[in-house]
Amino acid sequence: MAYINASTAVNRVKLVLIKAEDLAGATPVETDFYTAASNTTGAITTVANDAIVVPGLQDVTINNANGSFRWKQLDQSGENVITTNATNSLSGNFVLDPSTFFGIGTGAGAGQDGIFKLSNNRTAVAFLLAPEGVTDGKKLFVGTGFISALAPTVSADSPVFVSPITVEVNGDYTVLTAAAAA
Amino acid sequence: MRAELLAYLTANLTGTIKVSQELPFKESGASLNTKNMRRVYLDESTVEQAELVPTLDDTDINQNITTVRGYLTVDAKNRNADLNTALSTLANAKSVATISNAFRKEFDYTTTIDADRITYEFEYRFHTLA
Repeated sequence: MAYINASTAVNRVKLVLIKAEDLAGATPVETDFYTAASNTTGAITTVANDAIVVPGLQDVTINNANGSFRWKQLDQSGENVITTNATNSLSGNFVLDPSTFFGIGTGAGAGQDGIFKLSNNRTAVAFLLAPEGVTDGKKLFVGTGFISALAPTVSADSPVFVSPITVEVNGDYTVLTAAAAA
Repeated sequence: MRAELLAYLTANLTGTIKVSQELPFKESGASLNTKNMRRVYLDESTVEQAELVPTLDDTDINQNITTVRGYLTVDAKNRNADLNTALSTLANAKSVATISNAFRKEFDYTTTIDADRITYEFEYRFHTLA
């Protein structure tokens, strides 16, 4: 059986965020987030639209929870069911990096604003999640949504700020195949 | 870390139990703390690096755990009158202000009795961000 391997340097999980207003088209595509990556190292070498490559991810969960509608019929012993609209979200935890959390300036892009301002201002974002890295042929989840659930925490035993993060997905995920790496 | 502990203990252990500046090496087969009773000996620091916050990329947050071991041997039959005070001073040394970058400081000791001597073997552990 094959499996999604996120353990090697080339296949590290990546979460990339941009502002939704920076999308070239109606739906996100790979080049909205980065225009160059390395098939050798797995690194994103050129970001697009001032993208944030979220550093220090500790864990990521891709939630795709379909709703359900059930009904009973007198001629059947078991309930019938159909699934309804899904509640989609990405959630995880990350170590706070001052540059990506607070931003690096006052420009228009996501990297300038930082993760906290994108959440605080309820800015619509587009995301790209690469569960097995961004080398050619790997699958990518993309979509749009809003950042929520930030809760930076520090403790005496672990004196480094970490925070949960959730991207509440607006609509469906789109699954793409990476092709920008060389 | 050893230097800061030595400075604190030298200044604060002024009764019958004092501090030696030497390492607890062995002389003629006997360790110095058993030859020179009522003297505290601090060993050289050892450092272990461990993962503090693991991440999915290469940005793991690591910690250094610096361990300093020490030894004190006293007469088991006739306890020094200020032994309890000295043990309190040894424990308080972990909070010495000059070690300011540690986010976790620990101290403990065990005892061993051999003939008419009791040896306190103690250990300081300081956790710092690597």
